[in-house]
Amino acid sequence: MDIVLKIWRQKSATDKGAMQEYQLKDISSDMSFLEMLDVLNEKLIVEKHPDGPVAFDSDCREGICGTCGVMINGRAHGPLDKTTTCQLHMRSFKDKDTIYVEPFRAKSFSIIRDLTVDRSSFDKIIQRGGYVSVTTGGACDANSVLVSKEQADQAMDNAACIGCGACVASCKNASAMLFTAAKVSHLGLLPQGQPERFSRVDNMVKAMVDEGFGGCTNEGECEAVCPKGITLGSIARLNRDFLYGKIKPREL
Amino acid sequence: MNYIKLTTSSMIGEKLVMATTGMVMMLFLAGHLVGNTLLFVGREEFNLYADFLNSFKMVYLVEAGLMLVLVAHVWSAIRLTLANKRARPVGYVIKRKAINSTWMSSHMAHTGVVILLFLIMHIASMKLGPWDNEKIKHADTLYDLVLKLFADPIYSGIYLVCMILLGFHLHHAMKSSFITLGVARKHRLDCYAKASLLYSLFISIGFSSFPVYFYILSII
Ligand code: FES
Repeated sequence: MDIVLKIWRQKSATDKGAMQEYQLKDISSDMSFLEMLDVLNEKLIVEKHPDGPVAFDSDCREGICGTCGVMINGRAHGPLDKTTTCQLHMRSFKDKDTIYVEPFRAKSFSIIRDLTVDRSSFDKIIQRGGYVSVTTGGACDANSVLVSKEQADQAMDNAACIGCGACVASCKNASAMLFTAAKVSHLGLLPQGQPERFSRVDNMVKAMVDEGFGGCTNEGECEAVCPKGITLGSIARLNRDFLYGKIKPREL
Repeated sequence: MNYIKLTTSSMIGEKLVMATTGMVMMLFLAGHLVGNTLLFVGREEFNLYADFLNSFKMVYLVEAGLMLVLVAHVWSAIRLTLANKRARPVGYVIKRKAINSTWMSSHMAHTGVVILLFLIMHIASMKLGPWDNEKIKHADTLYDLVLKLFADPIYSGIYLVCMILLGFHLHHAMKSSFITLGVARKHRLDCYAKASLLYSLFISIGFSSFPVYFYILSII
């Protein structure tokens, strides 16, 4: 299949950047989206194109690490539900399609080059509360801490978050609520996460604001593009824990 | 007082203010609508109801409370909207695809401004009226004033449009509040969305019925 690509090119964080057009011929529909970009880059290198190859992020290419992620035709990770950019294939497009590729945009995600963005703001949020305390000493027996099936399932669903940033990219307020809510839910639902349950919410929410993310308006654009199917229910849980942490009687 | 500081400095705190003040106003609106249906019953009954409400000493306190609630709602809305705008200084070349969001949910600030302007008009013309003595010289009771105002197609038209926009605002407002207040559970999100739709239709159609009914009454 032949396609026309319009890709955001930007040399550095301070460069202005603009959309550039590239033509690709004979692309296999079985290629993944990133493989298609690899083909483009090869072509650009061979042709000694003045723009140089397109910088984009990827690592596992299995949809499990959260490194990849671009806006494809105005939608984070492209047209398929619950699919990362690396798991998107060219069969999702038609011959002679024009595909617009842009980086994830938010004040907190500064562009490094072309389609790569700095998502270390997410790490800062994690540093402020995405952990549990464990006791040192001999390892305790497996399954000595009982977790109900329901809790385990829900915690697992939220642990599926790969931190790709699609939620921020697709939110009109560039809010990191879905990401933070997934982390808060993942840890707060398990017995091991109880000691820091309420301080975790406070600290992570504070980190979110400090990093310059916007606030949530509960419109659900994030859950629509989340490759791991995290829902607004997690955001409601974060809000619930945030509020309850403020009004619960203090234990002495 | 770390809690208060965190609540006011962390968006979620401000959103909690939006949600609770919104809920208070939604309760008030429902009561206001039910009371106003007495307009359909008759002049006597409606005026009696108005006098009855005004006979309470507490009425000023309630009004002041509602005013405070409104101010808090608007104030947080402005602060949140500005912060949200700041969070993405450079936009996309291709407009983001709207998947779950609707025109109603993404234009809350716009419909909010219209509703605020409407409220000023509404209070000035109905509550503090008659403000245009020329036009409504003969209106002595509230019922007559309402009749007179709605006989004006421009006033009724503006009122009608505002009530439709109010419905749009409430449609997202209610379900959003449930999420912000943390009461919504994952498997019940749909129920809350349906409840908001029903509530917004009830309020929007309910309040729209007054200008429509009285305008038609005035021309036949
Ligand atoms: S490259 Fe790892 S999720 Fe796409």
